[in-house]
Amino acid sequence: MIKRRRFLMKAAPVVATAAAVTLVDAPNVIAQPKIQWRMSTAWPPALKVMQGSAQRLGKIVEEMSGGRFRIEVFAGGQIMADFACFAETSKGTLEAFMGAPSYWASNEPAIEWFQTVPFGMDPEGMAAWYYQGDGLKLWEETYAPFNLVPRQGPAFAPQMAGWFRKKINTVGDYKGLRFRIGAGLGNKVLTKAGTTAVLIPASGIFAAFERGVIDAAEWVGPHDDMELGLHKAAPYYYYPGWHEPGTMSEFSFNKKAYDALPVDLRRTLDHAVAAVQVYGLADYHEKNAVALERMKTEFKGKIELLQLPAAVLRDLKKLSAEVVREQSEKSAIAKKVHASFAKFQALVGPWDHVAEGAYHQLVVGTA
Amino acid sequence: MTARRRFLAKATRAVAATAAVTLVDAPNVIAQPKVQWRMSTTWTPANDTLQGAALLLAKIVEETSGGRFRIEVFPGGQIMPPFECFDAASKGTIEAFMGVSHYWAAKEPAFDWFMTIPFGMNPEGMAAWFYQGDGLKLWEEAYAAFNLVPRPGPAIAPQMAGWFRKKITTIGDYRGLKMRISGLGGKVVAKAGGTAVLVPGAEIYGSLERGVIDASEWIGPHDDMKLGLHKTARYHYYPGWHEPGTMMEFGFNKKAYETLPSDLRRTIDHAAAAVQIYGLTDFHAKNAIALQRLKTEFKDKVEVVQLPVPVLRDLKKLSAEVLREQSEKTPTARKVHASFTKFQALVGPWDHIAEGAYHQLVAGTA
Repeated sequence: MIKRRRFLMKAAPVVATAAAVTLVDAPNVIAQPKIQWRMSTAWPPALKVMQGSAQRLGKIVEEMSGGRFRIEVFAGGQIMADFACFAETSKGTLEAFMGAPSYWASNEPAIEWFQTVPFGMDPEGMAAWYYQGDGLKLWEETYAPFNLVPRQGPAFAPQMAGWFRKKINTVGDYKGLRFRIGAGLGNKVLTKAGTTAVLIPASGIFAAFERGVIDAAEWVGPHDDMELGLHKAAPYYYYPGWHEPGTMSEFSFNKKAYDALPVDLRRTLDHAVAAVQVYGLADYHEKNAVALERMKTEFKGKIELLQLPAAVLRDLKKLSAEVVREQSEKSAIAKKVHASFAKFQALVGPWDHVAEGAYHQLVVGTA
Repeated sequence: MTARRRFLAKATRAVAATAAVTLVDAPNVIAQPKVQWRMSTTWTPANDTLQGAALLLAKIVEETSGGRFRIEVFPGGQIMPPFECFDAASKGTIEAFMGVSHYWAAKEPAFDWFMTIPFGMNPEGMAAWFYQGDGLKLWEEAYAAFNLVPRPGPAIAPQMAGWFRKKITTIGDYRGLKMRISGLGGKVVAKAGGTAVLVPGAEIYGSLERGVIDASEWIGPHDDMKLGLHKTARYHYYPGWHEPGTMMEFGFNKKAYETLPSDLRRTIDHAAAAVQIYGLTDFHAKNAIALQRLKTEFKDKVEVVQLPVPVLRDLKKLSAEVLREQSEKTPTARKVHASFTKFQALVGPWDHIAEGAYHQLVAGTA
C-alpha cells in the first residue's frame, strides 16, 4: 500500500527529484523546480479508508501538478511513531501529517471542536462551518502557534455508538462498564455516566474483549470495526454514534513549507484536500453500507443491531452539554471556538431539520 | 459577476493568452501553451449559487494551473440561449457547459437519474453512487453518444416541496391543482390529478399572483425568496420528495477534454469534485439563513409545513409508477434505473442508522 522505497534525500521545500514522472503527457513535462514533501499519518496501515485518503491526496496533488509536487505518504510507525506526526510537522522535520484533531487536544482544548463534539454537527454541518462560517479561520488561528496550517480531511461520520456485551436500557447501565473509547469528549461524557474509560489502541480492542478486560468499545463504523474483528467479540451493536456525529479528519501542513509553495501549488493542495473530502465521504458511505449488509446476512443471528433508547440519549445529551461547557472554559480560544460552533449549529439546525432530517424521516422513511 | 469583456479569439485548445496572470508567483510562470475554454450555463446571473458554482470551477482551474488553463464562464443568454449549451458543447462550438442532466432528458430518458428522481437518494447517496458505484461510468456511457464528458457538480438538495396557496391535507388536494413543477415530479403530480405547468423561474411570482398557477416549487428558501415566492403564497411545504438529491452537472466536449494534457484533465476533474463540497456547503448555509428570515421577518406571512405522511405515501406509489414507465423507454434508462435502485437499496439501511439516526436522535433529542 505504501511505497517502501527508501527516502534518502532530506526533505526540503524545493528538491529536484530525478524520479520518472509517468503520469504526465510528454508536451506537458515542465522543467520546473520539483517539490517533494513527506506526510506521516496517525493511522496504522490496517485502516484502509483513512490511510487510503492520505494516499489519495498524494496522488491527486501529483496528478494535478503534472508531477511537480509529490507527497510521499507514510503510515504511522513507518518513519515515526503514530502520534509523533503533529509535533514533527510543527518542528518542520516533515511537511505534512494526517490525523484526527482530538489527538492533539492536550496542546489546546479548543482543538476538540474541529474534529467533532458529542451531539454536535454532522459532516455537512461541519463542512459548512469551515467553508461558510468561521470554522476554518478559527482552526488556522488555533494552529498558528504550532506553525501549522490545518485543512479538513474527509469525515468518518456519523459513527456507531459501539459494541456491547450487555444491553443498555437505562443510563444507569453505563455505571461500572469498562469501556474502550478513543480520545475526545465522548470519553469524558461516559466517565460522567460512571464508566471506567480504558485506553487501548485499535489493534488491541479485540483481544481486550476476549480477555474480559473491557465490556464495551467504540471504534468507527461497520467497515472499520469489522476489520478489527469486533463483530466477533460482542453481540450488541448500538447506534447512533452520539459522541462522534461529524468526525472530521485533518491534513495539516508545516506553515513555513506551505507558505513557501508557489501559489498554484498552494491552491492545488487546498482544492485537492476539498476533493478528497468528497471522495472520502463517498468511500466511507459505501464501504459501511456493504459492511452492514454483511453483518445482516453473513453474521445474522450473531449480531443485534440496536438503537440506544431515546431516554438514554437524553441523559447523555445533558452530560455532554456539561462536558462541552467545562471544556470550553479551559482556554480563551476554546471559549471562542465553542461559541462559534454552537451559534452555527443553531443556525443550520432548523434548515437541516426540514431538508436532510425530513429526507431521512419522510422521503426514504415512508413505507 | 461574469467577465463581460469581449471574447474575440476563437477558442481553441492552445491560445496564447496575453492577459496578465495575476495569480501566479513569478518563479512559477510557465512558458507553456495555454488552454482557453468557454463555458455557457443554463443559469441567469441572478442564480447566485448556481452561476457561482460555474465561476468557482473556473477560478479553481485557473489558480491550480497557474493560469495555464482558463475557462470563461457565460450565463445563459449571453453568448447563446440558456438551453443551447448542451448541443453547442456537443458540437464543439464551446468546450463546456453547466446545467442539470434532466434538461436534456428528451434526448434520452436515462438522464433524469443523473440529476435526481422522486424518492431517490440524497446528495451523499448520489455522490457515493457516482464515485463508488456505477453512476459516473453509466453517465459517461450515456453522454458519449453526444460527444460529451459529464462530471457531477454540486448538489442543491434536498429541496422543498414548494409554495402553496391552499393547504394540502390529502392526496385529493392535488386534484385540479395547477402547479409549476418540472421533471419527473411533474409527471407524478399529473398522476395525482394535478396539472403540471412549466413556467420559467423569473415568471413564477407573476403566475402565482395572477392565479395562473396555484402552487409552485423552485429550490429552497434562499433561491425561492429571490423570486419573491414568500410574498405570494403562504404555505411552504417540505420535504422535497420530488428532488431529494438534485445534482448539477459540468459537461465537457469530449474531444476538447481528451486533448487536454493529462495534468489539466485531472485538474478539471478534481476541481469539479472540490466545487461539490464548496457548493453544497454554500447551499446549506444560505438556506439556513433564508429559513431563519422566513421564521422571523416573515413569521406572520409564511407557514413552514410538513406534507402529511399519507400524502407522501401516495406520492411515493405514484412516483414508482412514473419511474417504471420512464425506465422502460430505452435500454439505457432501464440499465441506469436498475443500477440506481440497487445502490439505493444498498446504502439505505446504513443511511438509516447513520445520518437518519443522527437527524432523528442526535440532533432531534430534546
